[in-house]
Parts: sequence; C-alpha cells; structure tokens
Amino acid sequence: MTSKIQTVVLAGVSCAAVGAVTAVAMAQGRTHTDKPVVVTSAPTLNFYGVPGLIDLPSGEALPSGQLALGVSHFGGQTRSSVTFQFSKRISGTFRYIGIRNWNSEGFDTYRDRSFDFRFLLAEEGRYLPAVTVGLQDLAGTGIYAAEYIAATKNFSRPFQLPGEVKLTAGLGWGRLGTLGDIGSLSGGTRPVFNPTDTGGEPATDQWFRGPVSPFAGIEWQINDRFGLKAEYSTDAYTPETSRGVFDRDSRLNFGAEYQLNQRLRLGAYWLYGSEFGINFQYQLNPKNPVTPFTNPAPAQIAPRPDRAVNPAAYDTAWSTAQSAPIAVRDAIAPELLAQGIRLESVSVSATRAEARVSSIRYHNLAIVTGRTARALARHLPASVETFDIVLVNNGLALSNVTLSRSDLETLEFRPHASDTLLSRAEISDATPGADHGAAVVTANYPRFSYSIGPYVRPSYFDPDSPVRADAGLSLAADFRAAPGWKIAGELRYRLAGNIENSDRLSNSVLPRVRTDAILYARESDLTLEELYVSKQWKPSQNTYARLTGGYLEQMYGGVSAELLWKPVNNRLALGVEVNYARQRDFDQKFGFQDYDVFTGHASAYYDIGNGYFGQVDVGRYLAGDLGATFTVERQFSNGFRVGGFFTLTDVSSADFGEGSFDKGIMFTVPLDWLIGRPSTQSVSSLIRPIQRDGGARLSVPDRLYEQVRSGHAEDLTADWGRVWE
Amino acid sequence: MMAMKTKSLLLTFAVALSGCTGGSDQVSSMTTQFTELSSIVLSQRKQAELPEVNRALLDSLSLASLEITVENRDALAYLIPAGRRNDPFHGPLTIWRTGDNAQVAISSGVIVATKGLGDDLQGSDMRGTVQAVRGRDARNRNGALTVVTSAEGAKTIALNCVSQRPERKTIEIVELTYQVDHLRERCVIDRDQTVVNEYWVGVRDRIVWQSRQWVGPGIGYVRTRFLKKL
Repeated sequence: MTSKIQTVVLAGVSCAAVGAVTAVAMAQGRTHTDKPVVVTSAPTLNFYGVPGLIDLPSGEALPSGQLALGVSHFGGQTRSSVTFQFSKRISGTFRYIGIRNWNSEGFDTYRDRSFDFRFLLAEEGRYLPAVTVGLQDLAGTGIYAAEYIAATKNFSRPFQLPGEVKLTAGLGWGRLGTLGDIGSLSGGTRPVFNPTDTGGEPATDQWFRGPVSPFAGIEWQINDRFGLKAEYSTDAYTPETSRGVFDRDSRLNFGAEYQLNQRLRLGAYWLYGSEFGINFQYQLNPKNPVTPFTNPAPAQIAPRPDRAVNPAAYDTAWSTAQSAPIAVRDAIAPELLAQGIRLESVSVSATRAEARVSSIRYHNLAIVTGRTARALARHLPASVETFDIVLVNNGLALSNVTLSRSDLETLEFRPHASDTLLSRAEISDATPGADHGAAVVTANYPRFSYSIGPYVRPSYFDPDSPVRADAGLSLAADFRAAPGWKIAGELRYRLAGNIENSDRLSNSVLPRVRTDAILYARESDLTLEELYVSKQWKPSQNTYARLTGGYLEQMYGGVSAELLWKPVNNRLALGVEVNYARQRDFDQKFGFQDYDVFTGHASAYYDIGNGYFGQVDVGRYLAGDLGATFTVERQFSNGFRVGGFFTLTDVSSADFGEGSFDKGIMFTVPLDWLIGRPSTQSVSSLIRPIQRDGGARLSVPDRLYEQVRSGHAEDLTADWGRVWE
Repeated sequence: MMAMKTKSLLLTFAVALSGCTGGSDQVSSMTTQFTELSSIVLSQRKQAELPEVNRALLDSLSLASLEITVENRDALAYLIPAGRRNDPFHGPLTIWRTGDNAQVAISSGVIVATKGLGDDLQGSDMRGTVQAVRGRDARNRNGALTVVTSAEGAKTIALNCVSQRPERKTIEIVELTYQVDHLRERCVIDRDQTVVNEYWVGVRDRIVWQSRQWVGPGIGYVRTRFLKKL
C-alpha cells in the first residue's frame, strides 16, 4: 500500500547527516495477509441494473446518492444501465440495450433506450419489509415496459444459517404480468409493444393496466463476499421468444455472485432453464471519493500578543502611511500564489482589511477563504481585527466573507471549530470593485495559459455502432488582458476516429441545427473548435453580466449577452440570455452557412436545499421552436453532481422524431474527487438518448450562474469544514 | 498513412502524460484533465526510501524528532517541530510537520489535531486525557473529536473514556530504554464501538515516549514514538 504521508527530517540536520536523512518516507514493510472484509450493505442489482434479484426487482432502495452501473448479458440480450438514487426514496435509471437475432422490423440487432423510475414507499422496519413501486421503461417504445410493487425483508442468520437472507415478493404488470397472472386489478387493457414506435413520451395509458402476476425470490448473502439468488419470474419474454431470440423453458432462475471489492460485484446465472447469464455490478457513492482529499497543511496562524501586556503592538499609526496596503500586498501576494490563490487587491485600515482573491488550485472556496485569512493574520499589524475576504472569479466579485481575527486565533484545534467560525462569520454581497486606495496586483494582467494534448469526442447510441469516438490533438489557450476579459480558443486535429463512418445522416424535418454532426465529423481533420472573446462584470452589488462573441462552439458562431440577478444569500436567481447564432461551415474553419437564428432564454434557478437544485429555462431554441427546459440536479458537498433535464417545445412529437422530445442526464465529477489532490478541473458528461433538432440550445462558454453559484452561500458552506485546511 | 496516424496518436498521449500545460491559469480542457490524472498516477509510482534511523543519526540532529505511523495506511513518517503555541484551550501545543507539510498538533503527548493527512482531525477536546497523562490520574472523562471527512464534512464524535490503572514497564526506542507508566483509556465513541488509547509516560520526566491513539474514523489509530527531545 502506498504511503499517503511523505516525510523528511529537514531543518536542523547536521551537514553530515543530510545525505542520509533528507529522505522521504514510504510505506514500511508491514503486510496484510488477510483479505479485508468487504462491506456489502448496498442492495445488489438485477439484470436491469436496479436493486433486485436476477431478472426481478426488489423492494429496497440504494443508499441516497448511490450511483450504480450494471452490464448484464443472457440469451443474446445485453443491457447497460446506470441508476442514480436521487434521494432516499427516489431513483431513476437509464438503460441501453441490444437484442441480437431480432431479425424483424428491419433490425438484425434491436437496440433501444429506456428509463425507469422507482419510489420507496416504506423503509424496512423491525417486522415490515421495504416496499417499492417501480415504473420500468416508462417512456420508451415499451420493449421492457413493466410496473411493479415489490417488498423485501432481511433476516440475519435465519435458522442458524450464516450471513443474511432477504426475501422478496411482489406484483408485476406489463412484462412482469405475462405469466401466472391473477387477473387484472385495474380492468384496463394494455397497448401492445411496437418496436417501430418513436417512443419518448410517458406511456401513462399502460401503467398498471392489464394482467398482474405475483413474483418472488430469495437472496442469501452467505458471507461478506459470496451470495446466492433464486427467483420465480413472471416474464414470458414474448417479444424475444416469438422472434427466436432465445428459448424459455422455465420460470426459475438461479445465480451466484461474488463481491470483488467495495464497489464491484460479479455474478453468474442460469436463466429460464436454457440460458447462461452474467451480470457486472459497479456501485459508488459520490460522498466517498475514490481517493480521500489530502491537502498540505496551511501556514500556521500566529496569535497576536495580549493587548494588556503589549499595547504598543496595537498601535494604529502604521495605517496612515500611503504605502501600507502596498506593503501588505507585497507580503501576502507571493505567499498566497504559492498556495494556488491569486491576490487581486488588498486594502487596509487600522482595524479592517479587505483581500480580493481568486482560486487557481481549489474548487472548494472555503479553503481559499481560510488560507487567505491565515495569510492576513500572519502579516497584518495587530490592530487589524476584521478580515473581509472577497472571492473573485474572472472579474466577478462573488461574495464577501467577513471573519474575526480573534476567532481564527482561538478556534483552531478546538472541537466544532469550523461550525463555530461559520456561525460568527458573515457572508454578504461583494461590491463590484475594490476600494479606492486598494493596492492592486498589477502583475496579474495580462496573462496567458495553454494546453497541448489529446482530446476525445465520443458519440453514443448509433444503432450500427453504439459507441463511436474521434480522438486527436488539441491546442487550447486563453489570454486575459484585464479583469473580466478573456480571449480563448481551441484547435483540434483529428488523428483517428469513426464518427464520420456512420451512415445515419439526418432525416429531420426541422432545420438541422444539431443532427448534422456526422457531416461536421466528415469534412475536415483540422478544426477550430472555438475562438471567442468575452467580457464579464458586475453592474451592481448582486447582478452579473456577460458579453461573448466569436466561434462559440463546434457548430455555431455569434454573439451572446447574459444578465443574472443573484443575491449572495438568496436561494433564487433570475437570468436572461439573448443570442444571435449562425451555423458554421462543416469544415469548422472560419466560414458560415446560411442558417441563422435569434435564440435566448429567461431562466429561473432555485436552490432547493440539501444539495438539490432546480432550473427552468423558457425561450426560443436553435430551430426556432419555443418552449422550456426543466432541470433538476443534486450536488454533493465535494462538488460531484448528477442531474437530469427535459425540454418541451412547440415542435410536435412527429416532427421531433425518435424520442419525441429532448432529454438527458448529466454528470460532473471534480478531478480532486478522483485524484485526492486540490484541482479546479472537473470532468463533465451529458448523455442524451438521442440528439434531435427540437429543443436544442446554443452552447455558450462560461454561462454566469455556475460561476456565481460556486462563490455564494450554499456552495461555500456546503463543505465549509475544510476552511481550516 | 494509418501507421503514421497511430504513431501520432501515441505521441499525443505521450505529450499529455508529460504534462504539456503552461501559463498562470489552468486552461479548462480535456488535456489539462488528462495531465492531472497522469501526474497523480506517476507520482504514486515514485516511492522514496526511509532513512535508516539509529541513535547516532538522531544524535546528529539539532531538532527534536517524532515518529508517527498511521496504521490503516501502512504509512510511517518522521516529523520535526514546526511551531509551538500556548493555546488558550489546549494549553502548550507543539505543531509537528513532515517534509511535505502534513502536520500533527500535540499537547503533552496527546494528539489534538492533524492536517494534511486526509480525513483529518480538525480539532478536539482532549483536555481530560492530557490531565490524566500529566498527572497519571485515572478518573473518568468526556472528550470530543471533530473530524472532516469527504462523506460527511465536519463531524464531531463524543468520547466517553475510562482509564485503567497504569502499569510500570520498560520500553526501548531506537537503542534507548525508558521506564514508563503504561496508561490505557477505553473510550466509547458510539453505543457499540469502543476505541483504546495507550500512552507510555516516562516515570521521571512525564514525557509521552510512545503512544497509540485513535484520531477518527478516517485516519484510525496513529502510533507515535518520541525519538529525540532537545
């Protein structure tokens, strides 16, 4: 195991010993011969990637925030699923499937996407089971459409057996009601599955309709690694068996699973009396980073002398000197810069100091606040008692955190230190600019940054090849001439890829504002991904503005203007964005096509609390359609984010095409979550089941809300515990 | 042509792995992400060697020296004093640090805080234990540890501790022997979880020459050995 702390005995070492001792620690040779116990407290997954047995669901929910990936295969069917437990009771699943040997409706291999929704009706109690109601494939073509109510009860060491046993029983409709039904509770009929349907719209006409069948199963977790499963399935697999995909000879399924580590579980199964199956289950919780966050300790706070003992130390004459802020600036700017914090300006009076800082290294601005306060405490004369730390991002003053120096001196190392400091701190709106008389760090501008390296552009869900990608060399750079100004661009040279090989060209009846991606991939290897100039500023204490012009994204150039209202302690933010966009040439150099559009949205953002956020954008989209986008998102205190959105516009389902309306899920993983070290970078991914032309938005760099939110009260206090790090 | 493209692709990734970013900001690009990820992988491969610690080497040092071991990480470190303060809450505190600036704050041999270890002990109330170590008394006492974890943020854990009668022992630390009182305190941190802290306190000088302390669920048990005092 690798040591997390490195060590050296440095100072005070005699010269003779330096060679021997200037060294650094590593793990000592202790070895563990026993395998560590693997905790498998999270429910296991079924072949649909949701909590369950083998092909049946269970009544349990995953731990809140859990992200579960499942890939299963049996009888020529492969299902890849991602499930997110959005809250304690609500979870959602997106699934992509392929069924080989379909050989009908023009498909050799039938591919489809589906969404599930599950709601935990009751948590497990001492005597009562956990109960969940679920909608499977609730809005697709209906290939996997089913509804169920499932109940699961755990028993520890039943009948003196080792381990845990969980029993599951339930009622199933749709697929789960196609064998052994006990009649129809609702009395309604159920539409037949149509493989050529465009899908996408909630199939409310089928939910809990038609025959209902009871199902059951058992899971025995023998020890921390091995588990066995058996179930009685009520799925007749009619679409598959009628097309000869596989033969179904039994209603019983059996399986064995092995927990390889805390996250990965593998299973092998015998299904329906005829098929061998495998299931790969991977679960993680964003609350638990891959690598624990480790940050070198900050400089120590030097407590001031007691005023009664040394009153001269509290003399304020120093503050009258015009050079006072300059001296402070020159002392703390390099110290902060070495820690990845850029001092923008500093102003001082006899009892108060304001430092405007921006983060280079940390996405957690509580750390930036704490380290800036330490630097001020280390260098300012004793008479300065109050620190105003203004968090700045590319010219935008986000918030003002006011801290008492005495608190910093006395609270460190105490229990509840961060909570106590927060209760005594004040987070308020920041004035747009620094005070007159502030010492500005002029060396901050102009500045230039670049990166040269690889890029990958993935493309998903082409039925002929579900994962395609282009890869090559990227040269990205930005130039900041003054606060708020930014000129940025990226050149790409494709070295390899197969997106251009797709023959599924657009069949859209709308202006082809997004569905010509293959033509963009085919035209040129050398492309200008973006090149724009932007200016952002604060017109007033709680409003923010941005102007951007140039080649904004791969497919569009134009100009964009945005205004955002967001008081620092207000959960609500309102914004408006207006854009003129013109479609770029397929070769993505400097030319444009004929299509242009005025597009824009009025947006409302609301911080629901406990890390949940909602957003509604109403306006005109790229194809000229009018409508609204609804987004919900959960953000963990470490910055990991998972969300989903859908867009409804005046484009009809028929004109929209496959999928009926635009929707998708998005993930943002902060790099420090992966590597355990400070970083401002994050990896984002947006997965759309299908990209069509309706409800398509212009992609504009550096939209305001995300920038501003990171420095406002909710985000700032979400992981405030690190303020002392 | 294809072979040339393949070579170019390999070259591209080689460039990324060598960290081809520059300037005073991090450009937000896939390259920067690749570079940061690759740097952590490469840095984990570099393992420096521990010095061979013996009394002659310790005697040559002009500073005090402390050895700590984080048990659940198999991590060993040698620390030097980085500062001392008379804390109004804890009393006299010594801040010890490693070469890469992880820190441990210790009051009379009792760890009261850590920084830079990950899942750190942000602060604590161990005054009862400090009193017990100083006076070798065996009264029951309460304490608190505030830890910062990625999962739960700052979280305070209450300790309810009972000391056992000390045992007189002799221990050896790098070629020197010390006569000590072995103090053990059993602390209930949850209804069904107990941790045991141990201190080997010098009979004559009341220095904690050796200890094994639980500092939170993330770091777990830390063993200390006081290698050299000034």
